[in-house]
Amino acid sequence: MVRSQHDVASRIESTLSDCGLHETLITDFMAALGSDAVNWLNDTCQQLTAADLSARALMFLKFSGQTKGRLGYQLEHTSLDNRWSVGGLVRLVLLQKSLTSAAGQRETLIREIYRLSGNNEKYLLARGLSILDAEGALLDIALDMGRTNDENLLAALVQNNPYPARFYTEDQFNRLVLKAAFYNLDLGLIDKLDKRINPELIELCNDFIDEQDNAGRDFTNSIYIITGRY
Amino acid sequence: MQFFDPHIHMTSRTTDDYQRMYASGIRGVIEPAFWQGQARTSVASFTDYFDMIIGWERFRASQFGIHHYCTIGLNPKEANNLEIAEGVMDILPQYLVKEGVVAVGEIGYDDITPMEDRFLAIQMGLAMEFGLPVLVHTPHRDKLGGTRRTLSLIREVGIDEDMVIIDHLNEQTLPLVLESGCWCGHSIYPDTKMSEQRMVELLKRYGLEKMVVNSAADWGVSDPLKVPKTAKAMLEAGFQEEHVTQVLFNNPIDFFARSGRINREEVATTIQVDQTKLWQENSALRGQEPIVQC
Repeated sequence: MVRSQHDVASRIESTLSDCGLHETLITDFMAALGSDAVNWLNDTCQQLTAADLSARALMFLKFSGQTKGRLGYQLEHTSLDNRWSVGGLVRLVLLQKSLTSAAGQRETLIREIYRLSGNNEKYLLARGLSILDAEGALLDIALDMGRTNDENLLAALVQNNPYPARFYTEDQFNRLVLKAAFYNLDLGLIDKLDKRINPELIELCNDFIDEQDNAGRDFTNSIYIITGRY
Repeated sequence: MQFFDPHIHMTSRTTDDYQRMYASGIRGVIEPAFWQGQARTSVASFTDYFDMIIGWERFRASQFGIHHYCTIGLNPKEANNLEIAEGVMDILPQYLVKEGVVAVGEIGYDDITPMEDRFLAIQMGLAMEFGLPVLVHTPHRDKLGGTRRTLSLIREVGIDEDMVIIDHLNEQTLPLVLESGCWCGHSIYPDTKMSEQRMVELLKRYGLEKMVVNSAADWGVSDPLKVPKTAKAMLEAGFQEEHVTQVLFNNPIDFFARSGRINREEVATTIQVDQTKLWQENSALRGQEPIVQC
């Protein structure tokens, strides 16, 4: 029995390890989960095998939607680091298992999941972009996410996320940063911002500051990281 | 005094709003086609929405004594979905010929992308083809850059600048538009965009010609009475009633009159409300005694 529980946990750890997550993060996650949740997650993963992609996407979304009920609100939202919560990593395990054996259809499945997804799955895809896509093939999805008015989704895309700095053009990156400023997000959490600051971005941010000043509105002080103006 | 709100999304408002607007002197509105708060997933959603703002909503406004017109177009945010955007371009002509449609709009920039460039230019071309004015939205972010690019595209496409109103202007962008032949729209909002007091300062500084004010009220926190409230602020600041009427009634109607489908006389004409009327067997009443003025 003990041996079986160990094997189950190992399979989940291995799945997260395949995602390139740090060992400490995985250890913390497993410690937070508890045996009931580990068993549920393992059993659920075994069911994510439908051959039809749409069916598999729906199956993933069904189980992802059960995460809240299985973990409870507090555990679901327990932060493990600056990107991942316990609920987020449960969904990442489910997603990674769904993509296993999708082989050449992996990107198609991700697109189908994005098309059908709810808010939590969108946050997952945003945070996981750099894990799911090493080539920038999902850039169009990232840009589409960036058009959101959901501050949480925008934050998942723009903060502590290496994907934009890696794959966005200068103009795309500038627009994303400006939108983050518009939503008062902490720009200091944008990955490699210091490497991507450019004259156009500085001008955009200075215009933004002038506009907010005219309207008597507050804005994030972190914008001065870009403009250098105090 | 009578007022005209040339930019308000009445499908998102209640009958209480219509009643308060009428009581405050608003006699006509223009409802620009716009984003619904989340992305549409098919062209058919646009079809039903366009049908609603030229049909049911126009009827609903008339039930409360308010003349209702609309503008039709693909909003900038959804111009980034290529498949849907192209589909909307295909159906636009059948709406641009409708009687209650007084302009192409609101079109413009959101994220200022090449796709937005493309569909903004196409729609300006459609406006020229159908002899309609254009209502241009300026973006929430990089408003200055978006306004510059809008003016540049207007010149590139070759549309008569007098047929274009550029909306949501502020202290930064108004001077740019004043240098052009375009009309100048300003949206008065409770917290964002422009306040009544800031608007009054702009009118004092730049005059009244081609100046237009609207509430841009929608499903967000907004106020459908911002046009009459701006009138109050203008009067308190020393403007005469004729000045208020010029900015808050004559100017907007005169601009959209370039469509040939609206004029001051029509908007000033009292609608004889008859709440016994139905639209596709539907009434705006819920058991109340119908008002019949005719």
